[in-house]
Amino acid sequence: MILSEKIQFIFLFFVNHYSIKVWLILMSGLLCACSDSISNYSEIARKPKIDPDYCGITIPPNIAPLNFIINEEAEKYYVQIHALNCESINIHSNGKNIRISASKWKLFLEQCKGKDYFIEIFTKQEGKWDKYQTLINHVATDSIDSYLVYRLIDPGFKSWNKMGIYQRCLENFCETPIMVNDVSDGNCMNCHSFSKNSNNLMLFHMRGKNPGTIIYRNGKISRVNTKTTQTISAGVYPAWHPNGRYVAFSVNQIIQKFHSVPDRKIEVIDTLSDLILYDTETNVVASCAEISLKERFETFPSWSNDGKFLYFCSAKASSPSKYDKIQYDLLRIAFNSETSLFGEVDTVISSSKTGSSISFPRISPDGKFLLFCMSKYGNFSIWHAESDLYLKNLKNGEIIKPDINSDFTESYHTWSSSGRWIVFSSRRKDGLFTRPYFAYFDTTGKAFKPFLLPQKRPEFYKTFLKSFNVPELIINKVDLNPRDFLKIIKSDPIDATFKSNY
Amino acid sequence: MKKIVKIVFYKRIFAGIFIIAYFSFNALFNQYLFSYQEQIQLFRFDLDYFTSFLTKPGGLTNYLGAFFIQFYFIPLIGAFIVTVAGIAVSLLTGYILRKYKIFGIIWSIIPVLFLFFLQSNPYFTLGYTLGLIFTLSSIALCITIYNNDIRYITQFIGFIFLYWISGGFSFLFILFCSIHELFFTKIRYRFFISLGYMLIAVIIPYLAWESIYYIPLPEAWSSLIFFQNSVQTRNGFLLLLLYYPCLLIVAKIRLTQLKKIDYKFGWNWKTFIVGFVLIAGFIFTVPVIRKWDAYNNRISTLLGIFYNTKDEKWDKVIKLSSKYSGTDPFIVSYTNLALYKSGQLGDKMFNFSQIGPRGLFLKWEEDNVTPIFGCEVFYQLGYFNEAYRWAFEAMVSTGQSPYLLKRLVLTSIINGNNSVAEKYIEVLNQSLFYRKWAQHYSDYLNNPTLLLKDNEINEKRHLLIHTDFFADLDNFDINLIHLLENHPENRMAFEYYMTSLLLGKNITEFASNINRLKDYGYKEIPLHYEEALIIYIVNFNENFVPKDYTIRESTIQRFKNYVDTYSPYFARKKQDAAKVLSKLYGNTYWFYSQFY
Repeated sequence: MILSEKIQFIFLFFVNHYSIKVWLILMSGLLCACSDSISNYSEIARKPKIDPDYCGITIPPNIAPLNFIINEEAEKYYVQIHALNCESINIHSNGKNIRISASKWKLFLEQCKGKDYFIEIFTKQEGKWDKYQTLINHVATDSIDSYLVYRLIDPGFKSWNKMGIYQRCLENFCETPIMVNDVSDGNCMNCHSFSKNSNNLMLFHMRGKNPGTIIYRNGKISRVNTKTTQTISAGVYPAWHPNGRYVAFSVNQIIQKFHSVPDRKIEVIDTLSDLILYDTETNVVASCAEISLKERFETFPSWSNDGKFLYFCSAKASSPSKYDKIQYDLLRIAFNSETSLFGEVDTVISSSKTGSSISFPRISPDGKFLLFCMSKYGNFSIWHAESDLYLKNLKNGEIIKPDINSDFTESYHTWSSSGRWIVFSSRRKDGLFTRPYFAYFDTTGKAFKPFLLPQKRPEFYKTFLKSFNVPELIINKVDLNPRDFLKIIKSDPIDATFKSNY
Repeated sequence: MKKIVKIVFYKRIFAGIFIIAYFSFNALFNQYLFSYQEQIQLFRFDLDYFTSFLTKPGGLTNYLGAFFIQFYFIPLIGAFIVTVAGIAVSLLTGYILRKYKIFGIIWSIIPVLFLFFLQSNPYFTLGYTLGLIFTLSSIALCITIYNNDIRYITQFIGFIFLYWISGGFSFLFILFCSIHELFFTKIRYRFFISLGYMLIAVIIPYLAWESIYYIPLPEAWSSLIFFQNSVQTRNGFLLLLLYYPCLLIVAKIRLTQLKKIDYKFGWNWKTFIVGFVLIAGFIFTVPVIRKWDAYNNRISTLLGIFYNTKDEKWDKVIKLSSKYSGTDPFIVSYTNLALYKSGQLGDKMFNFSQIGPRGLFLKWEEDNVTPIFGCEVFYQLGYFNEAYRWAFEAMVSTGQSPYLLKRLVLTSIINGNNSVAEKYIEVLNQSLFYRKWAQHYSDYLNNPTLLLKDNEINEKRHLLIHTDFFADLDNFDINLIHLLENHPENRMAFEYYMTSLLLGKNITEFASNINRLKDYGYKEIPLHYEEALIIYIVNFNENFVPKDYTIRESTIQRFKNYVDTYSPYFARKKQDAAKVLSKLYGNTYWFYSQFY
């Protein structure tokens, strides 16, 4: 590239991002006022290519504007979003990026509840307008929880650098950090978890420097060391009991192995794995033989909505060399929250029947459905491209594969508090970077086409090189920011005590 | 009048010589350093990239530093930018000191000399110098305001603004302002004003920390001025910052003692010679001083090797390595790679330092250097998952960089992960100097037939691994065996395997693989292989020379000479023999196998 081109490139960047933008906004406003529709056009007999794929989807009535890119070459673009008896939204653009006015969108969705809405896309080439086939979406009557919490991490192997747990308001584009490792000596943090989508009951782990489990409960923050001499490790995968007092954790010893063939990258294998129960009121860690068998790997605890059963994944213990033979069953164990005692274990889904390994069981808030992942083997499904989401009807026992999966990984998932929405991790866009997708579930358990978390800048995902890890839906904003953790990080953690045979 | 003209003349000559010397030194000796600084960052014309700098006080200065560093793509421009920055520091220092009646060019050159040494640390980026320039500019502006009220307001607003732009540099500004009010004004309430400034310096960062930045509390004050990568550079930098207030206070005290109104450093032929000798001395002592400074021989060699490896200039890598006699694993592994790529590994590896099989691959370390340097050999070997992993890990720990992103693009395309490659291409597409490269590979993705015409990608794709194995991070020869099982025709894997056997002194295994030479089209047995074979034959009394190959007579004769030289030392200390033999046979496998 010659120097003049480079200077032009720099100039255009600043011009594009600042002054011209104001001018364009003013002009587009003027244009919108002058001509809100195009009457003279040719029809193209196909749908336009847009990114993200916001076509044929069902969206909540409280979601932020679904901005998108029109991946069609043209000089000008015109987008009309309309629905029956609703005020339409008209957008003129000289570029491919379509940004929808937040205020107009909010009004539009309010009017559109329970209806289909239509997106008309026109492009102008050589003075002539073309119109693509209409895109149709549906606005559900059920709202989604207002906030999504996720950890932003590099989808790497061993190293980490900047890391944080963030909350994003789904009704707009506001993202704020709950915790960032800039304030905690750059340590690793993971496994944020909430009790019943509550923003007032959460925990996450700190690793490396300043280790411990940070628990936010009753407006207080504490840091606990859940590692005891009788347990394999400190708590790993958490699950809050619905009563908000107990937390079931897996305790694991994990190793990483790196593949050599192109389509596989990493294997994360448990060499030891049990479950424990942590009482946040007494600071006691407990376990019983049924959930900590030496000859089995128990992991991924998840409570039933009434708290009477603890679901978990369990596989026959095996050496790491036989990693591709390890398949996890889904079991459950009865639990009495008044006596804190576990009961009988029974098998919910056997891997010998499905031929696949089960991970991340999550029961819907109404207790009717169980959503889980299945992959060929192992439990670290995020690195398994074949991992998909499955739904078990807990009343009739039927297992279906909802039409929300892709050829790439589908993994971690959470139900909304209403049970009408789920958010799940998927690598469908490129096979590596995890993104949060939302799907609507109706009362019969039918799932609808998922859509990607919308961003203010529709081109955001193109160059964003971090993964959205562990997406969790919460009802409201967590009233915490990284500074709130400073004191607790620097103080000594409270050591949990162990009690066996609970 | 004549005297003034003479002074200006000498001053200009002196300044001119200094600038030329400064630029020349940067251009000649720091080109690899500039290139490395450019390679470990990627300036992107992207709003998200810009806002990522605003999470800490002083982020804007770092952003501007990164903007200029992208032009180090051409190291000569790097030398020019650094020189201009040095001149700016010098001019601003001179301007400020003159306001305090401290004359003499030497006072304004001292900070540049500081910077010269500090800049020799690869992580002391231009942002630090820019921070100093912004601070000095703010000071220069404030001390020219004679109206007290306007000056106070300017200083107050200036501090807030400077804190946002340059972080901790604002404390130099406020310290300067305090000293100015305290020692150089006669205002009645100057003590309270100075105290007020100090309070502002405490309160504003605290408020910023409380309401804007998510950083540890001490960083609210130390951001951008507390250099973290080297204690030596950190102390040097703090000394530079203290230079200004200290000079001001000392000058004030001396002027008061001497009852003089100014400090003059007269210019005549004597002072000119002194100045000239000072600069010449500085230039000649720099290489000596640099041996213990951050930018020592080891690092400069390594940066040179990195620079040339990036462009696959293997002969230059070897030339640089030949001047280095240490055992740095980074340099040793790159030297071996360059020797292989230039077809000399089997003949010349013992002309260079060797450290055993570890000299072929770097040992995995979770730091911000090892993964960058370690990924190259995997890429060249056709071990693309490991090349990708190391490049990715490096990017995680050091940030986005053109070198790493290019590696990630290529390994992703070779592995058939085009969607992932596209992502890295999009990132490179936002840069100034790598857009063309990005667009080239973007065209490949849009038109796969073009991809088939790319020799490098096709050759590498041919080596794709089809039978899976896990990377063995401790025993790399096992990975080499797996690579050879997947692709027996992978000549580099074979040569690296043979080399690892030699370096591990596993002669038996080496000899059992020597017959494979023919499969790889070797016309003759490489010299060090001959040397190893002779040892095997002597030890096991078994002729293992492959069919159609012979051991050269010169090698046999040399071995005899080696034995003859060694014989008198049989009964003596091993070190005595090593001393004698290293001079004559230090570059042989015999010497390596016996004395390493």
